[in-house]
Amino acid sequence: MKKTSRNSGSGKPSCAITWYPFLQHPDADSCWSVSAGPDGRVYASACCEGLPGGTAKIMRYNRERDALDCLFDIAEATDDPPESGRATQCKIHYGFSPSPREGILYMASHLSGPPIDRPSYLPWHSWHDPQRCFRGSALVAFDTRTDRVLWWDTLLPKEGCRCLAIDDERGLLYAMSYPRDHLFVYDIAARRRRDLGRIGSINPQVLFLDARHRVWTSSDYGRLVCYDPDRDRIEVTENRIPHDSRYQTGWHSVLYDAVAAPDGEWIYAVTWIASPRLFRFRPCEGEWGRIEDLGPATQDRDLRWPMDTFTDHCGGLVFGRDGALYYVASAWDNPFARWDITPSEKGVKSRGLRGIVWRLDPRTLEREPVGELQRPEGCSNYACRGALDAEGDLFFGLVNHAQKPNGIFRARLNGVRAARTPPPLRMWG
Amino acid sequence: MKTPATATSRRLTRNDPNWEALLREIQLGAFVHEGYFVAFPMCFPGVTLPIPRDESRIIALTTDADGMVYGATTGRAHHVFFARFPGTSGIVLDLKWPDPAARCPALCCGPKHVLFAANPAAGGGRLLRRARQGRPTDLLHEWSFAKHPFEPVEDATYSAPILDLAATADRRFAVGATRDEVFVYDFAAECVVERRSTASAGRLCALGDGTVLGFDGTGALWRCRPAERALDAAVVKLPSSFGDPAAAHWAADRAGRFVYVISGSGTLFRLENGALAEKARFTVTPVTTAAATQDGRLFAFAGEGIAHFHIYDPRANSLRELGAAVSVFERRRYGYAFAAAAPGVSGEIFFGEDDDLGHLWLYFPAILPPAENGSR
Repeated sequence: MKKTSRNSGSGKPSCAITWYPFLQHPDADSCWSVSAGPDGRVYASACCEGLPGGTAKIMRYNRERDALDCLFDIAEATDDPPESGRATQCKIHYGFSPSPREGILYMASHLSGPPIDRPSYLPWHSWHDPQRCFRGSALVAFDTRTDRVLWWDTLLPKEGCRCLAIDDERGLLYAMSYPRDHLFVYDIAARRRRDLGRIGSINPQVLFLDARHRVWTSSDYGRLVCYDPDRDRIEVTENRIPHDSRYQTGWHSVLYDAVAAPDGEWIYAVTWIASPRLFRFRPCEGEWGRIEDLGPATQDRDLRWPMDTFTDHCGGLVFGRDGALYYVASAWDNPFARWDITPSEKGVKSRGLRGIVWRLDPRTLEREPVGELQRPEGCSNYACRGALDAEGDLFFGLVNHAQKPNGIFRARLNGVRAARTPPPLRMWG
Repeated sequence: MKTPATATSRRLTRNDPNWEALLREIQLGAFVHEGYFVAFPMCFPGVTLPIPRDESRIIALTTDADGMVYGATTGRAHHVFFARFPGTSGIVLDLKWPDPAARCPALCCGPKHVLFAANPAAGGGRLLRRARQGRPTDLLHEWSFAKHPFEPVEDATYSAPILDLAATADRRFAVGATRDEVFVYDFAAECVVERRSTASAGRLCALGDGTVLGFDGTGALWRCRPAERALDAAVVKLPSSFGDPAAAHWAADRAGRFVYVISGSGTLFRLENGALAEKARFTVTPVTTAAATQDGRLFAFAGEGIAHFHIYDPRANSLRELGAAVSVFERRRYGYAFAAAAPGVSGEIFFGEDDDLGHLWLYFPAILPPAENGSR
């Protein structure tokens, strides 16, 4: 079932892209996370949020077999069976965080999968219903040296974990809860959580850390938000995340993805709203850092009609061994074709929606397309996350609820030279 | 919650005849589906900085005779604020509370000034007053704001924190209480005119006849008649199951005609003919705040984490859940925790959000069709 395509893009370098569907989880309708573990191997979450009673399984790329291994089912590992009648342990969203110190890959589950006998799940509706309410985000400690789940704990009662980050030096995990949008800190040694406060209503999709052990995310109104553990306070900074000022106000310009550059100075990030914006942020410059707008990540379009969140998208930010930033951005022929109610223009394929792999040189900020994600059926534009394994291959997770099973892409770069400074291990989901 | 809740192995499919009905129930039932909420930020939008996100938990609200709103917040520091929405206004104004370390648990409005309870961090309580904020002019075009000073009320310091304040229906007096004292403030004389040693607990409620009710902490209500400088002990006996009065919430319409109290365990009572009549029970608890409209409907938030909004309609004697609060006007925001409420003059209710980045929420209840006999 693997399919490899070779893309040369507009020039050098090029990449050979291979599709790995989640064959061991045919109901997997999304892959919300892909991450390198502390062992340098790549892990992915095979999620199932559309099927009543669906659960998530953890996959890992096996280089020897050139295939995915299915490691375990989150529901089984955390004693929360799909037949419980409650919302299920259906996915790991941006919830992987590796601990090189311990050799553990931490992962926190998220909600949205309906109970087995319900068509849908909304946490606001079932919050006070003990028969239906999600038990809570399960934090799983997976030992990558022994392939065993060492322990699990309820990280966020009743809530899901949108995104996770680890301060490995201090033994702390940070989690963003859904739906209440609270930032939590979890002390791994003490197995104790603490609610640090509410951010807003729109979940930011990533948390990242800086060299001062501060945790960064974003507010509903497109400002960077910082939790400084030494001050024990969440503060909304003056840093405004870029947006398209022709029609946007900054509302909903929340962080989608962020990755640390090999230089140890910059964080490269992208927003979670139509017309996603690339920018980079230097958190330790001055008190609250400095943002540089790198411009739109996707093409222009007719702004008179609201854009589908799953169409105009950019994600999968990852630094390659060559020191360049790689990411996946949507491209399309007709972004609205899916919703144009004409007999001749129906279906996902008709809008010509594609996922283009871009390479951005941090020194020059020049960017060029180097490949396209292609699977045998359906479109491949929505990349959730990117990861770099120990061998230098890039991996991108795919979300596309229309075609099951979902899976991941491997992108093998050709014609690149390794930079002196390797990219750091990503410490957040 | 380690064991299965409602273990079943039957997976619902899209072909199931119940699919659409269940989907509708879940999607339409999740958020308030009767009336509308508007979440307003704690600032003059685009003109002033909002009250900081971790200092904006609203814990007290009141309205004056014109419907202008005054309130108090808590968090890392405390604030008091003014708000107004009619005409060309639309503002929350931070009034610059003189002691940000002092919590303001209650405030009430007289004809010319506002009375504030201040509980300093060092302990005890005291009263402050401030002139009512003038009506802002055209807040779409140009504006100026008088900044009135807060003044301490003479001989109004207390050894225990002030629990609550309530202005009488005629706004001639305010009645306040600590755990061991009840006092009367005369708005015209601008001083405390009566202090009485009496046990008290929890919140107060002003009635339409100019009196104020309070819990005595021993299973009964006292009644203060400020115009007569009188305090009547044990005028209403509480049911034995009432529980801790500190956890109870009052709700009365602006005229004081419909008076409700909800116990900490979620039992709703209406004050009828000088006694408490049980009307309903909340299945979700605790109730965190409640208010009543002039037609007697009671609206209340209940539940921890994500509070669910409820309505009690005396015409049908029914208590119903209306879902979680959400605003799509002014601010697109979910509302999860509320701790204060005050009825406005046009049928709206103000709710104070007790959360980080708290907002002042306006609720516009649905207009009811006339009753079958033509009366309301």
